[in-house]
Amino acid sequence: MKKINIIVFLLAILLFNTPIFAERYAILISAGKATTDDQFSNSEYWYDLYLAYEDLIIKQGYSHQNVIVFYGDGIDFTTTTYPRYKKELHGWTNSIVDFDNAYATMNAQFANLGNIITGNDEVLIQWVVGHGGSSTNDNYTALIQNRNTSLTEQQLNTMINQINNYSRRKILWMTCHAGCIVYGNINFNNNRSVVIPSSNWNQNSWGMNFPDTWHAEFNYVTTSALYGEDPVGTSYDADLNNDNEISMLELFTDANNSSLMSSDPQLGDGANRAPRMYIDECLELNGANTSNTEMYEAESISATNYIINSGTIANVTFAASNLNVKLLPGFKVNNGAKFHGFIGSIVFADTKNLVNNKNNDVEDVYEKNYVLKELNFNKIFANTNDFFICPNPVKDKLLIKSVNSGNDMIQYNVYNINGTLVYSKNTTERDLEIDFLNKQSGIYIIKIIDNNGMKIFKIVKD
Amino acid sequence: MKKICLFFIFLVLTFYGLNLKAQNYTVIDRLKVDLFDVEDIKKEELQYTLLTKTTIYVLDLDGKIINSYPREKVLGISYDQKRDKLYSIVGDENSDSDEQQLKYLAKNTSNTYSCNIIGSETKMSYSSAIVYMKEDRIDKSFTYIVGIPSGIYCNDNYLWYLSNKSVKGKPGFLMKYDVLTGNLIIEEEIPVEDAKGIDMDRDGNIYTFNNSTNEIIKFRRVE
Repeated sequence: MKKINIIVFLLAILLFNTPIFAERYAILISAGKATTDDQFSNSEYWYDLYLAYEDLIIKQGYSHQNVIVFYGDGIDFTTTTYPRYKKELHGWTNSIVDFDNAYATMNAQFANLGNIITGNDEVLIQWVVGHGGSSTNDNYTALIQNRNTSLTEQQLNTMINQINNYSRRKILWMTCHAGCIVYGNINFNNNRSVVIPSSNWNQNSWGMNFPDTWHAEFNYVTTSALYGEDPVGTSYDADLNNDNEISMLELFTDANNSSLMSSDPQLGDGANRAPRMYIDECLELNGANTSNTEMYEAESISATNYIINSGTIANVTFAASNLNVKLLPGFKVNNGAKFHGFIGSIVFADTKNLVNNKNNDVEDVYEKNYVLKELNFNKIFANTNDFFICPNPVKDKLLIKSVNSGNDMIQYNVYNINGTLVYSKNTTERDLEIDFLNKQSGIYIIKIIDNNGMKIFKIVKD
Repeated sequence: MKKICLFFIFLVLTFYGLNLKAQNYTVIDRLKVDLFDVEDIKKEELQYTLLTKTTIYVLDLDGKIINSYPREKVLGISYDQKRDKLYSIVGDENSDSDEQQLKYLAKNTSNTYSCNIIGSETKMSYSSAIVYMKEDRIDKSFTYIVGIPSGIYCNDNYLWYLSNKSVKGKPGFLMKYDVLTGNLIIEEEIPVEDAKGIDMDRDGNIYTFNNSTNEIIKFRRVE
């Protein structure tokens, strides 16, 4: 144990002398302009933008200068009669909006940001609210309503891909037919991105006059989930694993299960990173008690009163892309459990193995803030299993395929929309065929649990 | 004294600025009628036609009911001044709010328009739109809907769209679109609360129904 502590100490000194400077950026685009209060497809262009901005600054710890906002004519909507949606509520004096939402402006600024954002940085891109349309999953267009101009999916993809150096990218997209951005030949998926559109490619997205005024349903649930309360202050809990942080998977799952959502949000997650990717990049885990395989991936991670229980499944990884991993009072890894800590870029595997697959009891070092680094970082991700399901919608047979091989036990569960388990199988088979012929039409949830965690798919039976 | 004068000028300018929107329209006439829950109104040369939830009423210019018919499946009405004819759009009403529902009708020489409402007053799809009608079906979208529709009217150059804020006691909003480009030209508050239905005569006077006061309101824009 002493040796480990010495290595940790030396590495900590090394890291503090060679810091990795990473930033968190967020880009918010509101594809319209509010001109009055309480009007569908008008006022929420400001209200929902404000809620997204407020969450990033107040709850997620973003700096004002790193949240770039495109809206209307480039000027805040200040004549709203709702104090709730005025910047003065938080004592902010500067404008929230940085630029107008003209395509030329946005395209130029994305090009600028492409030169500023580096491979260590994280970026969130949110098309906050707008109209969209498509007749197939590949001819999506998004409208800038106040300009009466539409952008094609190719234009949007090219625009946002001008920012191509980043460690992680999170995309939230609210329009009708938004699912196009995760399907078809043109899509926003890649192994560094998690993409959540508000509806499937052939679905509408909806607005609702609730709880105080008009909001897009998707924005109500996502901002409430991230903020921990809705716009009128009612508590909102989307923290499914009770770690006090909302992962992109939790955000997606909550939106998908919300009774207030009329559409089906989709999940574009090329490398199964949604369970460990967060809007909040400075995770402060507190009070957890786990016996599972869990991975947290953020700019910095701290854990207080965090206990990893004994057992062969218990396997927790903290991967901090920038600042530090802090194991604070109450952090404990019990015998038989595994804990891994990393600091460094997750794209460029330049980290060094320090603690890997060893049964460590680090209870005696729990009060030290120490920095861990691992070189074999990619190995963790090499073990990730990706599953694909088809067809969706399904008529008679659902095929589940894995791109990787392995002999580990996999649990396949199928639930109907009421949450009733209608199919379950524990097997080492990685390719599976499930008979849907005699199942009732409707929505089904497929849960696949393997050594790398749980994957959730939503399918429709015709 | 100088300070008081400056302060007074400042106050006048301030209130002038705040009321600028309301001053774009002036009410010309109000006609109290014995009807409520009016959804649409059309002004013909010598009569009004009003659509309520269950009935189509014909009123003389003094507001007296001179005829009535069951509404049945009429979703919207439009008056063609050139032909002096009243047109209607007829179809089934959907009880499921998730389904699309056509409401209101506007015609000019070239096109027929309706509102394709997907949702309800408290829940609306972002695909809800003012649409072109081709014979008996939706052809394509003209523009996405803003607010909750309360009526449409068009001539050969412009389409007017009335939006109710769905809160009783709040003024309606009138939007004017270029029919060729679909561009929004004007969006202004009108001096009518809880307004439903819109029509316009040859002189540019606008007609709507105030469901809070049960009045036909005649007003016009101050150019």
